[in-house]
Amino acid sequence: MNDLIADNITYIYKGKYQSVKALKEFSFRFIPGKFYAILGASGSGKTTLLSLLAGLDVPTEGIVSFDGLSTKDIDRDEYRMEHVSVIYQNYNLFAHLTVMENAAYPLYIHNVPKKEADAIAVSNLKKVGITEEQMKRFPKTLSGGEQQRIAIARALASGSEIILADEPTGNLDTKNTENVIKILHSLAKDDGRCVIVVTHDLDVAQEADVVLKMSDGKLVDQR
Amino acid sequence: MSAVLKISLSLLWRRRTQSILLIALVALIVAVSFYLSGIAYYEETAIEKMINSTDINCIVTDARGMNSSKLSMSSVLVQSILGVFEDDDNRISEFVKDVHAMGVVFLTYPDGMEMHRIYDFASDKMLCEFEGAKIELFDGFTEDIFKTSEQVCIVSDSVEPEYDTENNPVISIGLERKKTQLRIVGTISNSESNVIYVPLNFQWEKDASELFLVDSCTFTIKDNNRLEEAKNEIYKLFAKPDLLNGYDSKPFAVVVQDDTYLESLDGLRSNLRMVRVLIPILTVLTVAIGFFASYLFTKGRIKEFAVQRCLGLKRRRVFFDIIGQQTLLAVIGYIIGLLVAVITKSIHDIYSIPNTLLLLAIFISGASCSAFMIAKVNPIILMKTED
Repeated sequence: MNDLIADNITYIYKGKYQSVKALKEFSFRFIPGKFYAILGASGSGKTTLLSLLAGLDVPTEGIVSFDGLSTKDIDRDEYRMEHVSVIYQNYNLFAHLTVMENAAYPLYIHNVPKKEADAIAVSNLKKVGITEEQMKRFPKTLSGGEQQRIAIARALASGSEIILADEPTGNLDTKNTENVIKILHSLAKDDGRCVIVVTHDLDVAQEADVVLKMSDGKLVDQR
Repeated sequence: MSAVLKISLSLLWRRRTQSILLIALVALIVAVSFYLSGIAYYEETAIEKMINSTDINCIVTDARGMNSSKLSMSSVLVQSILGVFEDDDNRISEFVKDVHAMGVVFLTYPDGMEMHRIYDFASDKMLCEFEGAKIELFDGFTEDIFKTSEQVCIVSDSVEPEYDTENNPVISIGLERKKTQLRIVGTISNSESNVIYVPLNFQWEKDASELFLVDSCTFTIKDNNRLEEAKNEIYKLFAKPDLLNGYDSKPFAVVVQDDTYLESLDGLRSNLRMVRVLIPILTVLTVAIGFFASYLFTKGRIKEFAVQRCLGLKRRRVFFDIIGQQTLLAVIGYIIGLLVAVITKSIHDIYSIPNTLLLLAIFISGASCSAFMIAKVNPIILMKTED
């Protein structure tokens, strides 16, 4: 039931002088417990697809549905708060919050009491290999790999069924890439979450259960 | 306190440079506003004080404004000023106060004596100018008796009085064929011994109405708020002093000594106008500053708000989070500005507090506009833009 479905979706960016069809009649069913990799050249529509799956926008045509409900018909803020977590290439952590506060923030906005939220955040951070000493620091004082792991810990906090990652290893070295992919893989396999990663990196794709190849806004291949 | 609120408050501290700047900005605006209100209050008070306490003297002169001491002016004009004639069309008496008038008559008896008609003691310079001159009125008499037409007088203490049948001191005077006996109601020491002072409207014969000549007359404007109205009335009866004036229609003029008063009042009013222009400018500036300071303060955090939105925080919650932080800083700034105003004694008027509160509200409104714009951030900006 908790499948995330893209049903014949098209998305058109409407500019002042011209419109661009970024996504063309894309259809796919993403199921829990699987690790998906979306490959494609720049401009192939990968990130647009991810934005629509994240409920940041709605398709121009077609529907994105989760749990049988179209993102057009539901409260998308609630959808993002309850069901989807997004991990970005440039981490997008809160610079003025400590590592622990960053990881606990989704719980804060869920009105979970601070102590309780912090305890969950500590557990998640430990899970992704962040030490207690690092938890008290500000993100900028940590490496890119560590920041990305904090972003993953933040994604875990809200307990979302869907983890969307936009080039999560784009700024990382090989060792950190391996580490992050391992964690994402484990989220799919061990926690039963649906993990969808947009990437250029073929090594990442190799770890995926399903690889979707996109070109010119269309799904051109899958394995 | 919710965790998000705690985090918001701690963020204000962690970004203390920006917070302090915003607080200082608001404090400065509030202090300046109090200062301007203080100046406005000071100017208003000074204007009011000047209007209420300045005596604008008016001096009756000849038509050319050259002579004010030997006018030989008909008593009718002075009586008009005093409002003696009930059916008089002229309303000068409504607008003037402190009338001083006097006329000199050379008596034929006692020989060499001068009779000074005075409306009060201040009417005759002789009574004031003689150093050490001391007037002593007998029991039961006051200076007000000179405002009547009684046959009374004060004389030099060197004059030997006669006594009437009731043993009251009197003095006999005469002018050509007119003769009368005046009751002495007081004496004056250290003064000219050949002058008798009688009420301005003294009549040689009781209950008679006779004209006499007045040599000098001055008065003061009663209500400076009605100065123009008073001048209109004055110049219905008198001329405006001018060297080119003839003596045919209005033989006497009045010099209204209001130049310095009007000049000072103009200066104060001009200052007040300037302050009153500055206050709305400050108000507009406050809105602009409120908007831009808040916008700049929050613009650098736009990605942070986008992440909040992406994490599912609703737009209105982001808006209230921004505006709550701005309001808190603005209120702290207001309190500091208020304290600065108290310490520098800039608060003269309790009514300036609501004005500055209004300024605070306007500042927050400006900040709200910017918060509204910022809260509209689309979290999609967080995604890579290549697709």
